[in-house]
Amino acid sequence: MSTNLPSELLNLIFKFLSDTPAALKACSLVSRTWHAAAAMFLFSSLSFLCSIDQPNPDLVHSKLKRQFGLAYGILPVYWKIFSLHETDTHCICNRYKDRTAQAFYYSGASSTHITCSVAELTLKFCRSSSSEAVYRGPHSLQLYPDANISSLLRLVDELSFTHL
Amino acid sequence: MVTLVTSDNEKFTADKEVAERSVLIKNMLEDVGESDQPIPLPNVSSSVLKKVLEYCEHHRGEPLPAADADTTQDDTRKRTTDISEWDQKFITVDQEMLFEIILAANYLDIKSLLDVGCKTVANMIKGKTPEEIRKLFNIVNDFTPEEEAQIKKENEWAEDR
Repeated sequence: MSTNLPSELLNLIFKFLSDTPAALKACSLVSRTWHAAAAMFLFSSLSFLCSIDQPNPDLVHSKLKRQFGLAYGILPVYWKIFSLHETDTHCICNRYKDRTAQAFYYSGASSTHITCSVAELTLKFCRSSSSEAVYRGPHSLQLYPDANISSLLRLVDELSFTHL
Repeated sequence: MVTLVTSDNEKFTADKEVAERSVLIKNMLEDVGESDQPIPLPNVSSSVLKKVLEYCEHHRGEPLPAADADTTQDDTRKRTTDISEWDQKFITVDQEMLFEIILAANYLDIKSLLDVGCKTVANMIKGKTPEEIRKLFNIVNDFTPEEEAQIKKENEWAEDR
């Protein structure tokens, strides 16, 4: 005969599963109550790739340039709040190709389940000096080929309104 | 000696040193000062208090965690699901008693016992599928298939640590 697990204990128990995401993911699919508790741990820290190097001016039309100006103006404000990881020599674009800010935004996954749970957001900026043109190869995953640069800014806004 | 009265009105006496492993009782004793007044514990039944006192008796004299323990230390401790041999034996009880002990440890503020209980449940969960977990804890699946699919999609964004 099994007994119901009091839901107020879930948070206390999930703390001990915070290093085993597979177990937390299984817990999140048990029931709505379990999902709410597990999401807090699953999404407490997220990191996204959102490189912004200086784009090649010849390849960027003027509308995009304005958006870059905006991004460069706004992001430093957030740099003080969010941790910023830079790499100088190794390109991280390939490793994080499935974790770009835009992909997250457009996947439809940026639901309140996730955004309400994020306690720590890491924006990864690839500053690789690799000479590959930014529009090809792994660097093409960077932010600026995306005409809609505001997706990142909206995401950051969404997260900062929830938490700051 | 300290006298404790359970929810089912049973009286237990314990050494002050043993009872004070509960931060709640320690604070209550400090508040009332020198007094023989029994301490009512309306949230704890006699069968559970018996187990809790057994635990406190075994661990008497061990240092208590500081109230504002260093957070990094706290994190390391949280992530180890190792349980000592005596504690393991102690916590091998039926599920209802296990949950009651955890609730009592939470109410009485006995951090080490709370951790042992929660680690035990965490270990029961590890490696199980959602369906197996539901069966283990008698939980009804209240998701629609669409919700389940959405959660699986969202979970892909969780970071593997």
